[in-house]
Amino acid sequence: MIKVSNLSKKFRGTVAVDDLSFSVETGKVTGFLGPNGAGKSTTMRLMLGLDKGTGTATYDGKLLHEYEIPSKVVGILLEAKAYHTTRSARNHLKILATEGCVPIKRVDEDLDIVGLSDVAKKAPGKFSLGMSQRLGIAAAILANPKYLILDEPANGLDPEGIVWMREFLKSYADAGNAVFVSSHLLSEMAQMADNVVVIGKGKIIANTSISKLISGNAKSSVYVRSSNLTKLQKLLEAKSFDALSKDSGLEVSGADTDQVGKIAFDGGITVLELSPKHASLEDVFLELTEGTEQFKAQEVKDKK
Amino acid sequence: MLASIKSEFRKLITVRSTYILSGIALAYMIFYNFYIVGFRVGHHLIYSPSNPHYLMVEVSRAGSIAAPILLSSIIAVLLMAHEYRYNTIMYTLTNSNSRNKSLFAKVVAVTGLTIVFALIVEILSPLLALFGAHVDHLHLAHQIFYYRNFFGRVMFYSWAYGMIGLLLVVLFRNIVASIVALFFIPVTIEPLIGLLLSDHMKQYLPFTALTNVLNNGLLVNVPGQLSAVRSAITVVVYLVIGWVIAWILFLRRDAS
Repeated sequence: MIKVSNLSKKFRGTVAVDDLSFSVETGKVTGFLGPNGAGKSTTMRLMLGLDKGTGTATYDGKLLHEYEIPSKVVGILLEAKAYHTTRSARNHLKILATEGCVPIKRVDEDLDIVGLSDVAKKAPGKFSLGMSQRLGIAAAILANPKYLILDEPANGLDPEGIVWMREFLKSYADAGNAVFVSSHLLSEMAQMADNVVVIGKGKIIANTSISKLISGNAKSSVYVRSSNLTKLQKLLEAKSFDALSKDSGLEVSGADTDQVGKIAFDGGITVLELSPKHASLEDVFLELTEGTEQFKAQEVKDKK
Repeated sequence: MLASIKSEFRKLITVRSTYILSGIALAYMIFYNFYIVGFRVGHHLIYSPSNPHYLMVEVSRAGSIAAPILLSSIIAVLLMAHEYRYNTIMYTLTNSNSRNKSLFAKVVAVTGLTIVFALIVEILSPLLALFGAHVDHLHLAHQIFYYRNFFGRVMFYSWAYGMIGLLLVVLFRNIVASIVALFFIPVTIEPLIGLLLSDHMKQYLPFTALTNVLNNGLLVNVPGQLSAVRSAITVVVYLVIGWVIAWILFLRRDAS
């Protein structure tokens, strides 16, 4: 298990990471979410000792520098294009293999795993972002470490690549390892992660399983379309349900489909459509991180 | 530790810039030693071909040694600066359990590189000059060549220049700033500071002292001039002070 305790970091008086504590369990994929500038990358760098701050990150109870060969404990991908642009992909990995005391023959196996065997001798300067991410993954798993720390590994991947990444990381965790991954692709995270750590302005906002996060932080609703929306809205409000007009129908909060169907039936109203609407990870994320964004764009005005 | 050192040497030999800069250094050595010192002998140089120390003096000149050594120093700069430019420093630091080991491996790699470069310069320079003279059918007087003296001076010059290059990158962590400083300090800043100092004190400036290691007391000791050994000690003092600061910063600063 990776245990992060009281990590903090200031940049010229500005608090980037504020007393973060959480753990990353083995056998699971743990997602790391937060708006831009929330401190995700800084947290990962602190966990690896790349940035100097306060607090500790232990891997199975030991600090990373207490291991003889840290790369056999944790594999990292913090930046997709972290390679010399004119050094071939194979040579890039050979250097990492030499540093990490990994047999050189592992390099070709590794390139095969990520699907870059055909371009092994090419300089990665002209690689697409997706190919760079694959090379980054290859670097991370080169020494077959127990822990993976990945910062936005799905950026730039095509749909096939995203599916491959998801399945790969899930299987890597299933093999008894732990994957700690940040991403802005929330639908992807919802499918991939078991647990999630959400931060905003450097502080922990949530640290739980995905299912608990969604069920505990966002209300489910029901969408209904009927022959007489006005009458149905009045009947629902009479039963203390919030019913708001939406897309030629009503969005009813705090009710389930059975309740809405029964109220419509009792009122003699024909129901044209009735469907439950579950909160998504995106809904929960936006709700949780409201007000913690460092860079907030102007809202898009509805033209209707 | 050995893994880190091996990895640093692998970094050196797997980038194009190492070969390009080495090629330029070789081309320069051929041009200067073969063509200027050997082939065009006597037309441009102070020492006459009939002087028994002609070869020793001419191939020991900064003009012969400095350019290829400067190029080796740039290779040393790139070894470290590329790590910051491409952010591969994060791999270097997380693959090792100590920043001391990572930096020490760089120092060893640069020492190895500069020794190899110095050996190539030391062996090729006089041979190219002799070959140039031979091709021009020019007969040099019987030459006296102090090999140990020459090898020691060039070796130190090369190593110290490499260490200065590496030191600048550890301090600046930027490829452009480091290379600009490597060129700018000896040709602009130091001469300007020299204007404020007496001729004797000027000899204690770092790059002046380093150049003096090559030439001072080559054949005779000039009164008032620092000897090559004293000049080398002056350079070492600067290197020690600079490296103590750089090493502490490397340990304490964020990785990029």
